[in-house]
Amino acid sequence: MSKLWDPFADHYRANPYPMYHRLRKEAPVYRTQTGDLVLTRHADIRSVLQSTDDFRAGNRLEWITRQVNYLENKSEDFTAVTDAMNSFIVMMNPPEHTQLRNILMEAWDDHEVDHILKSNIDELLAKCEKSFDLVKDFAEPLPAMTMTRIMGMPFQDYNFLKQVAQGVLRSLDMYMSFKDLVQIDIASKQFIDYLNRYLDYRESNLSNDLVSKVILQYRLRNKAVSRKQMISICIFLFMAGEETTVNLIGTGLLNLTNHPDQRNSLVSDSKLLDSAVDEALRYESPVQLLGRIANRDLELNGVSIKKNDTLTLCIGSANRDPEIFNDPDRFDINRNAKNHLAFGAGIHFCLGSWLAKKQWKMATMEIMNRFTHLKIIEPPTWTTMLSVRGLASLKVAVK
Amino acid sequence: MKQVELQEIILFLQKSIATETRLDLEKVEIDQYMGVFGLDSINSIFVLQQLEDFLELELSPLLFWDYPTIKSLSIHLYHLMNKQ
Repeated sequence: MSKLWDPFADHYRANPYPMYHRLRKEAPVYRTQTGDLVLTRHADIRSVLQSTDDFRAGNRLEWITRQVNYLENKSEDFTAVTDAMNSFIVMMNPPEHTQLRNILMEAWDDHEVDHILKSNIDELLAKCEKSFDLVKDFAEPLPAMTMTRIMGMPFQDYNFLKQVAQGVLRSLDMYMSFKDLVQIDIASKQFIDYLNRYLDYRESNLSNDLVSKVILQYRLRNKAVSRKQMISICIFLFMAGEETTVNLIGTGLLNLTNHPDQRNSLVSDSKLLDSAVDEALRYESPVQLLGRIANRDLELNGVSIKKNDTLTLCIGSANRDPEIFNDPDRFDINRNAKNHLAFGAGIHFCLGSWLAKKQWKMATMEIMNRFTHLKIIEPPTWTTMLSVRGLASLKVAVK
Repeated sequence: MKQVELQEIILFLQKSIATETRLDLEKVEIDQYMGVFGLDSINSIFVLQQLEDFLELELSPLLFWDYPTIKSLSIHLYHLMNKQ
C-alpha cells in the first residue's frame, strides 16, 4: 500500500490534490511517519487557525532555532538564518504579534498603488512579444518591482531583492536538507547586509514609503525596535508580497488559458474579477501548507494531540474540500469561492491580501486584453517548494 | 552511478549515526528503529548530507522515516542504486 503522506513523490508537485483527497477521506487528522500531524479538512483547519489559545504559530522558527543551535555545537555558524527570521510576523504570537500587527496596519495606509502597478506591468509587457515565458518574464519580476517601490528601495535593485527573498523563503518550507540550509544562510546574509545599508540611509531620510512609515510608527509610539528586528520585519514584508503573488498570477493565467470560455467571459465582463480572483486563490493556493504547534493536550476529530505536537495545515486541501466547495476540482470563476483559506484565518489573516488581489486583477486583465490569442507552447513546470506552490515556467506564444 | 555494496551502505549508516548520536558502533543495531538511537529531525539532516555525499545521490528529507531501520533503509538505497 502506498503511503498516505508522500509529498516527495514525483507526481505530487504537478498535482498534490489526489493525495489531499485521499487523506481527507481516510484520515483527515493524520499522524505522519515523522510524528507530525497533517490536517486536510476545511473545518478543522479553520478552527485551528482561529484557536490562538490552543495552537501557536512559529513551528518553523522553533525548528530552525534548534537546528542552528545544534550546528553551533559543531562550529557551523548559521545564525544569519535565525537573525533573518526573528521578527517574521507570521511566526509570532500574542502579545508581540498584536503589537507588530497594529504597527504594520497603521503604517500601511496607502492602498493607492494602481499607478505603480500599471507602470510595472507596462514596462514588463513592452519586452514580451511573439513567444516568452509568462512566469519568468512577467509574473516573477512584477511583484518584486512592486514591493521594491512600495518599500522605497532603489528600483533597479528589484532583481537582487527577488533572488535573496526567494532564497530566504525556503526557510518556511516544511522539510529541509543541509544544502537548503546553506543556501538560506547565504541569502539571509545578503539580504541582511543590503537592509543594513538601506536602513542606515532610510532612518535619517524618512519619506512616504512603507519602511519609513513603519519606522515612524515605532517613533510615534515611543517603542524601541532594534536594527535586527527592523531588518527581519522588512525581509518578511518583501518576501510575503513577492513569491506568493508570483504564483497566483502564474497559475491564474494557466487556468484561464486552459478554460477559454471563462477567459472570454472575464474579458467581456470585468464584474467577474472579484469572484475570479477568489477562485484563482482557491483552486491553486500559493500558500499550500501552514504550521501550528499545540499548546496543550487535546483531541481533534477523534485523534489525540499532545502538547508541543506539530500540525501541518494543508490549505490547498481545505480549498478543495467538497464539504465546502461543490465539485472542488473544477475551475469555475463564476462560483462563490469566498470561503477559501488562501489568506489564512484569524489573527494572522494576510495583511497584503488587498495588494495580491489588486495585482492579480490588473496583471491578468492586461494580459488578456493585450494578447487575444495566447497559446501554451510547452508543458508548464512547477517549483520545488512544498509550502508554497507555483509555476516555475509557462512558455506561451501570442498574437 | 556509483557502485556500492549493501554491506558498505549498512556500515556507513552505522558509523554516521554512531558519530552523530555519540553511541558505540556495536549499539547501533540494524534492525532497531533509528529514533531509538536519538536520531531526530535535527541531527538527521547531517547524516542525510553525509549519506548523499557518499552515495552521490539526492535523497528525500523523509528518508529516515519512510525506512526507519538501518536494514530497511540500506536495502532501499541499494535497490535504488542498482535500478538506475
